[in-house]
Amino acid sequence: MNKKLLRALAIPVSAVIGLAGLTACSTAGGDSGSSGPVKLTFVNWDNGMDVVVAAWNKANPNIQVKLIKPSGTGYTLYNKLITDTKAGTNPDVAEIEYPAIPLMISNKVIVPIDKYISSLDNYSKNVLNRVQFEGKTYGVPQNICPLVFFYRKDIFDAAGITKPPATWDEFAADAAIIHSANPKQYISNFDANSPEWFSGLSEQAGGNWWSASGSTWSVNIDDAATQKVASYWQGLLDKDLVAPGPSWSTQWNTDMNTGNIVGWISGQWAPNQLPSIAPDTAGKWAAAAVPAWTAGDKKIGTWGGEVEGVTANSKHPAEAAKFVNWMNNSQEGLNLLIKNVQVFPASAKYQSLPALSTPPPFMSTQPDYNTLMAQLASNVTGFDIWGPNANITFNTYSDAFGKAVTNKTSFLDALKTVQDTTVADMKKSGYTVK
Amino acid sequence: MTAIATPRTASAAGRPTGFRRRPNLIPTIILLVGAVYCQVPVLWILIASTKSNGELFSTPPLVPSFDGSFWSNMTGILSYNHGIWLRWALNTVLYAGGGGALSTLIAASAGYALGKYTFRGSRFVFRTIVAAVLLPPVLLAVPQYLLLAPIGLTNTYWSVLLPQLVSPFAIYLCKIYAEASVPDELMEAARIDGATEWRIFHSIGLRLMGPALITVFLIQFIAVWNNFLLPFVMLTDNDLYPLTLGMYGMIMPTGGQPNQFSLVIAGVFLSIIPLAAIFLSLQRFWKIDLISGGVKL
Amino acid sequence: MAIALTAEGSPPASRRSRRRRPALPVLLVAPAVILLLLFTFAPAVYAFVLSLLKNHVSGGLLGTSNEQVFAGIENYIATLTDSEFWGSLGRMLLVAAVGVPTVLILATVFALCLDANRARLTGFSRLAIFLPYAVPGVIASLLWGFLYLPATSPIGGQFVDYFGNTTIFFAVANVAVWGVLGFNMVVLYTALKSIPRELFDAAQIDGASELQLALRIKLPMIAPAMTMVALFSVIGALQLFNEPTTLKPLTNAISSTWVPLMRVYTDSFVNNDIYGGAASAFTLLVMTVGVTVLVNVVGTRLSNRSSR
Repeated sequence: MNKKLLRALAIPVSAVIGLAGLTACSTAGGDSGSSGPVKLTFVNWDNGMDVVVAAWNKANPNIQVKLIKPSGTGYTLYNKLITDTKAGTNPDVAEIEYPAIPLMISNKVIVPIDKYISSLDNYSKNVLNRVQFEGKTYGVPQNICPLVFFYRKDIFDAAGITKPPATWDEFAADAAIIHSANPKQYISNFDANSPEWFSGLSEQAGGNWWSASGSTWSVNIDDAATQKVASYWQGLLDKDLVAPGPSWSTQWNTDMNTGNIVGWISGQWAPNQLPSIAPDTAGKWAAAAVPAWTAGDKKIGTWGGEVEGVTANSKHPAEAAKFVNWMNNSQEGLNLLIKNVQVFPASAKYQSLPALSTPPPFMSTQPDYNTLMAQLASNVTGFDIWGPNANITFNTYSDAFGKAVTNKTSFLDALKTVQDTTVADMKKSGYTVK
Repeated sequence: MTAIATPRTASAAGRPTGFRRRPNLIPTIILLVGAVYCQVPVLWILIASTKSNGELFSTPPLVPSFDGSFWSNMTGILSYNHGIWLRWALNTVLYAGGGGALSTLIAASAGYALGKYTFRGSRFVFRTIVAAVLLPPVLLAVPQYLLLAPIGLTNTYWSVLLPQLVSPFAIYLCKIYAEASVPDELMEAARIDGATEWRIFHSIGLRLMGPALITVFLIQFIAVWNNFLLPFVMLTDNDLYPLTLGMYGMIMPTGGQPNQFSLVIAGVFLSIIPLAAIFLSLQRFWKIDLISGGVKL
Repeated sequence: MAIALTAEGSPPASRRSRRRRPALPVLLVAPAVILLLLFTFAPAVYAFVLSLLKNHVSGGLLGTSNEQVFAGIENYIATLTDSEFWGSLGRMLLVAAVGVPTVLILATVFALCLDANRARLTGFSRLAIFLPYAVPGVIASLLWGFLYLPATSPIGGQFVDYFGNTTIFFAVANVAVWGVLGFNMVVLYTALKSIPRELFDAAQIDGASELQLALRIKLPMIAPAMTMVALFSVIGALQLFNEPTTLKPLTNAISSTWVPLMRVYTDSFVNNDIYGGAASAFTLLVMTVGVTVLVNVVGTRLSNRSSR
């Protein structure tokens, strides 16, 4: 028994030591040997990014980039970046969405890149506001993702709705038409799990959650405009005109497939996601501008959009910035991004590139999809600035609104919770809040 | 001494003969109800893995589909993301199997030493170990991360292996079993014959503790397997993930990642089968009496 | 454990070495001790140290400096006065209140049935009930998640809302119960089997039924094992994390701080407050130790009383 046991245990034990020894390298920022190419690590979660990186590597033998696909995206990744920055193990370049940039700056995760890049005057003020703080630039903007209303044209036609709703009043009316024709169908869901869905809608209504004057912050998450949005959706929920479950849940996925949910207020990137959500419905969806509060008002909010930031841990910030600049602010880079990642460029300079003349495959029945995106992009509005603790705001939104939906309590109270929690946390950390 | 379960003595002799033929229905039925409750989910997953994504939501749950989706699901999950499911499975073998084996060895050594020897500090060490039993491993996961992060040791195989290499409970069990199953006389006799302590340990001690060590290994295996929080906080790199983390990631709604439920279901199905097989084959090694017997001390 | 701490005690005189003290035992114990210090005690201590600090930002809008400062018991006060903390404890206790008795009762009933005279198909049933133990908690939650969802449910998910306000506790508890039932059943069954059969003969001659046998003789004799099952289940409940975390994406009913361990995770990794997270973690550790000791003491007293 003894020998057999030891032998039996020896195999897994040596496997442990062997495998662990072979692969116990961290994914820290790469380094170059005394000669040889500069090696950079780049963390990004978008599908298709590997083609873009491969193209760079081919053309730049002296700066080789290794793409790492993280398992957690968004704030899961950002929080890891924050914790790992003190250990010095962050990759050289990281994908960071606009709302998280102040968070990353205040946690010393990313560094300014003004001295490494040429100029950014092809970007609009609105876009630059998202990446420039206190006179320094922290990233090259890649894309802009206006909110878009996607709807099942076939089902709308069958219900007698010939045009998508142009105002929120019409939206509510259409919701009623659809739901009374078929009690299982909803024009949309209320998404308590996607804080940027809600913030985008608040931006459109004129909300301004954060602003700053000098070093003093002003936080107004529950301002009148946002309250208007919250109350509007609560009304729809109360009348059972929208489904209560979060997007991307199994239930929502099913409903999208079976046609029980016939509309989705989402971002420009939705056609990237839809093939894996409801592949059989390809070609049946149409995209339109999100309904407005007053007819003719074209202002629109955003959901998503990102830069690639150069991290404080990077030992080669110049090369990293060069890579980022090529990818996000050159025709070559953006062509690759459009074709492989289906990005919509943030700068108007690239918004009429030939690559954009074909719509995303999922929207094949809407050839002018990108023209619509260009129009929406020119009317994008946003908060003055994103707060330094947007992660807390977002998490509180999910918890508070999720609870309100489940318990059928007031959204305005939930909104106040979000406001109070955000302010309390900022004060605790030492920020000056008016 | 520990009361080890004595094998069931010939029970037939003591039973009143009159009722022997008629089966006792009530316990049988109760047990069958329990069996159904425990197996319905497994049955469901088997059936669900025969369906494609579309069929999943449109056909009745307990009716299997025979249109070949089973194979496409299986090949789908195994080739997903360049075969990452297999990588996850191998990682799991490493963490749970390798880690479990190592921790069993460590526990066996420590348990043997504490159970069969007195040395300066042994009483204190044992008390400390018993105290450490009170600190549940999962609760320690976040503090373990906080400790390793500033020195850059996270996101490696070791970051998940090391914290789980020592299990105070396993050491405790090994100590009890060492005391109960390794007779002092045998050790003395070997000493008189000139054997070194090390020789006594591995040719007598480990051998006699063998059956218990398998149980300890299985318990450790399950414990590592079930510790989701530790790899969850330690690992960022997809390639290092165990199956639990990988499958959880597949169902998480995230921007950019496809949500393919039929693949997740296939993955879950595949995760269950080998484990069930291991358990079935190792059944006779389970000495649960070790655990319940440990109580009677 | 429900073992008197005195039992580790002194070896019989014959074993006390009259010769040189061998080096082997120290070497054998060393890895365990080192690892314990590094990965069990050090993290707990470090968590305590972190819990006394906090982050302070100063200078400029986005903070040119970001440093660790001493916070005293601020984090503890924040944790203990946070209604969400007590809420998460309460929810966990609710799950435990559903799950622990269920496991205990079902495991005992099944063990007794396995041990019952002339029960049939025991081999099959025992295996069938034990197998879920081989399924990791996360996988089990994914599995049950599908079973709860109206879209795919074979158990009436279209009519019953398993993710409702009150049903969610049963839904979560069920997943945990399903996973550990078999193991606990086997623990109790093994304890049952070690009862000498002669004890039953006298009772049976007196005409006791199987049920009376079970209640009057078997149960009290496995009381220590039942205490251990209860203790393991309670400790397991305190570490509840896998099931609610895995079910969270499927429903609005589970928040990011639904149970204490999720709160520790959310604080540390979502809200980026490792100091608050450390404070919550340390508070939970203290509570766990307290509860374990308590259950131990109560259980030992109860089983002492019943075995008299």
